[in-house]
Amino acid sequence: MTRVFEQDAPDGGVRILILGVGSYPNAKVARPTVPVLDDLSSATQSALDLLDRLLGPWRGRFDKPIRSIDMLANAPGSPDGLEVPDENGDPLEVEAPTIAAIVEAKKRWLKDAGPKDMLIFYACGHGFWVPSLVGRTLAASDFGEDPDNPWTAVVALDDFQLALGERAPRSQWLFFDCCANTPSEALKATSPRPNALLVTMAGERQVMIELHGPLEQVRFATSTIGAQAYGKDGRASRFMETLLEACDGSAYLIDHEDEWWIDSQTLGRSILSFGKRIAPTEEEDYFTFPQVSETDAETIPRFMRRATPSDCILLARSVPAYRLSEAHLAVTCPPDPTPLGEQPAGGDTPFRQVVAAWDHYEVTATFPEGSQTRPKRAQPPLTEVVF
Amino acid sequence: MPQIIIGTREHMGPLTIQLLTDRGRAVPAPALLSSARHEIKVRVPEGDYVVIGTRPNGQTLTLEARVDRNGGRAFFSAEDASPNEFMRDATVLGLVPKLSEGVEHFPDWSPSRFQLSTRTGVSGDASRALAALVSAPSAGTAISFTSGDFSPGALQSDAPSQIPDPKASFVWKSLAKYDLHAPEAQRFWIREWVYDGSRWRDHLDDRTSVHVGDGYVRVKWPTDVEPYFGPQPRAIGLVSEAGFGPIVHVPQFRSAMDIVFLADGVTSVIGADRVTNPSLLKVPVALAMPEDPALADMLSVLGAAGAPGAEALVTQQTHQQLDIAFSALNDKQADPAAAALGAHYLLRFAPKRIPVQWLRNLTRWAPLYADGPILLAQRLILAGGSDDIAASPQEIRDLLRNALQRPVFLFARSRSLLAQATRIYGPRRRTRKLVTAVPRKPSPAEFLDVAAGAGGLDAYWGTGPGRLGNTPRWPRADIRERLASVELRNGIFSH
Repeated sequence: MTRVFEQDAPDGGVRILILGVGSYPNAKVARPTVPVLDDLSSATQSALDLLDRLLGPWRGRFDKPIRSIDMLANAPGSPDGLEVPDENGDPLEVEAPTIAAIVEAKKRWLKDAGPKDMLIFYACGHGFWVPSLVGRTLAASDFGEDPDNPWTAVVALDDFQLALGERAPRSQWLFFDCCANTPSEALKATSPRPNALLVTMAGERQVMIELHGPLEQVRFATSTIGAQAYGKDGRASRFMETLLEACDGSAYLIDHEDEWWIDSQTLGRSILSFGKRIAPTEEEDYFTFPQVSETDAETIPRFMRRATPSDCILLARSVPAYRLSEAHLAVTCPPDPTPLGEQPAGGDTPFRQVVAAWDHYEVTATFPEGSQTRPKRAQPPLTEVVF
Repeated sequence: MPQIIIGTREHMGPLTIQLLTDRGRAVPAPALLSSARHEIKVRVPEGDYVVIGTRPNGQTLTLEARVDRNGGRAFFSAEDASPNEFMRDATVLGLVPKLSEGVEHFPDWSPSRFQLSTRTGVSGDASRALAALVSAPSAGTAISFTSGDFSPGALQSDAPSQIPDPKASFVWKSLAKYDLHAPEAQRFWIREWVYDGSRWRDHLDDRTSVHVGDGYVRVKWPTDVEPYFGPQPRAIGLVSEAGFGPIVHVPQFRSAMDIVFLADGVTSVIGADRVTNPSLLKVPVALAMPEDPALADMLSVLGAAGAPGAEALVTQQTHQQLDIAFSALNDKQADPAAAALGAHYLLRFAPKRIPVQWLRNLTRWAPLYADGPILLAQRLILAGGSDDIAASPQEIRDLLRNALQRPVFLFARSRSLLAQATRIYGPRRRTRKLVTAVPRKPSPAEFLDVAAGAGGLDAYWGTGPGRLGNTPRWPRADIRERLASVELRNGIFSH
């Protein structure tokens, strides 16, 4: 069972495929061709959190209704699948993301998909970059089941992305939330043949453009080549935490005809600024990671919308950093002298204040030697003031 | 209705524009400013506006403007500090992220000052690549590797934390290990090569000028180089005493070209395992600065993660009243390097607009360059064939085989496209049946494994053009001919 939600959408809808590979029961012992793959509770949690949002607060935020959600997931201690809540909160069994199950889920996801549909693909699990040969990949949950040829249980994500551009849906958002480094077993493999799930056809991309219009495909990869993606036990992946926060509230930055939109650029700005805006000081480094997004779209692709704009975080800091702790801080919105927020000396640094976007504010720092005031317009999602 | 004039400094490079009211409402406006078109005018009601400009490196610039009955103006200029003085031109062009005000300097363990831009949240080429390299892995699940394959080298012992990436160790084994904190200086030599039709040979060109600064070495080729019909492809390297270092292939544009080797990049050899994606995320070892702003624009946008409105660059008017990319393509006989760059640009943003016949001509007129057949193959893959050339897999495979046999790649993107296309269409590498004295020619994808960033030019770590890594393959020749030698000490170059 993979379909957790569906409804009719005769004028096009959003089709979503979620893969959360949290357990690799066949990769617990190192073998010459198979690296050890630890279980990933963050992959499971990422898939569950995403599903929860899609069935809940995000449901009406796409330009089209959600037509279907297909999901495959397993978890540490539950390698064969797990229960997820459906739209009514009732338990639903979803299968483990084995390669066979992924192929079947892909078929259902794309069945009768037309140019007015929007595709969303999210995959979280162990991934490899196979140098010289393949590109980004995602290990399915049965990776290692056939140690003589473990690569049959691997999805070739780059090739999949390329071929997906030749399918009818013109709006496509892909999230590859997995590592892109290379274990030695992958280095030594002379001819890995992972599964691209789709085949490319020469000239087909242009045929689709001529028939249905230009392609808007956006890809977010959460690790640069050679690097790993991260998540903490019991929490969603690092990327998913930033994505949830962005789509919950911080990335609705552009008003198109009285609706506030997340687009590929505002999503990127929100993710990039998460570490400074939101993260606790001790996690700021953790949430500072490269944003690897790409699109060849002619215009800036839009993702989600809502009726209200995002707030802005006004962040005050100093050079050197410790100096700010010596100051009393106050944020006002002139001409009103009443502080919207303030902090006595000895408080946290940097100082953050949630303010309404686009208004003009003044941040006043009163040091022992005197006061300094910085006027700033609150451009969302993050506006910095440096003393 | 009054109008707002949105402009940039000339030579500032491409800028994707979003015009918003002061409450964030989008105002329809032309999307792209560039060296060819650095001003647009939009009629808007009176009021306050915000203009957001996004550069190809991801950097976001924001301006506020007030429009009264006489109009208003928003002018982008890159006046903030560049990471280094010698990078000023590249910063203006958008090739290097600027420093934000008040940025803190990193502890001494940081191997490169490029990381500064990461901390400020600017997602530029350098920042993205280096952030992956030097970011401390926090607690979290990760792949476990079998022991014994991972032997940190001298570089890693100085890193702030172990980078648990055996692939890096594999690459490091085949690369020189620079000791960043050695008290003694390291000497580098600038070598130049030309391809004489059958092989790469050392070459000294009296017209090539070299300037050595604190953190850089600038090599400049003048505009009066030999006409490009009957070209001699060139490469340049900054190599150590062992003959190893970054190698950059230099397109011989008709206009002048600067290659600026960066001390920070050269010492960040741990970045040599960077491979490509359309954003060309690699540790920069050199900056490539074409004198022609139109070529510089195309090169920077080509390396962008995304460039809404990029197709507009094709149709914007230059001061000669010619389309930029098409004019480059029109000059394919006189300036094949510019033609190849124009073709890359069109291939990415408007593949159907490249006539197949032009690419066939480019393939014929520049027989040493792999870029021609690669571009033609990609054109067929993406946009199909034409009346006289089919888009069959066999035709594509033949073009790719042709490309594999050519010795020179002008642009890094060509290698990545070839690697991707051969993966899907072949030809497949055959198993060698005989052991020969001649080393196996590396595949295009193997170049990507040791790729270096040089502003979109083909660049990698090796011992010469076509010689990857530091693995001895050929007898290592004495470095007899070289343009200049420089000393590197504590990240500073000197004579």
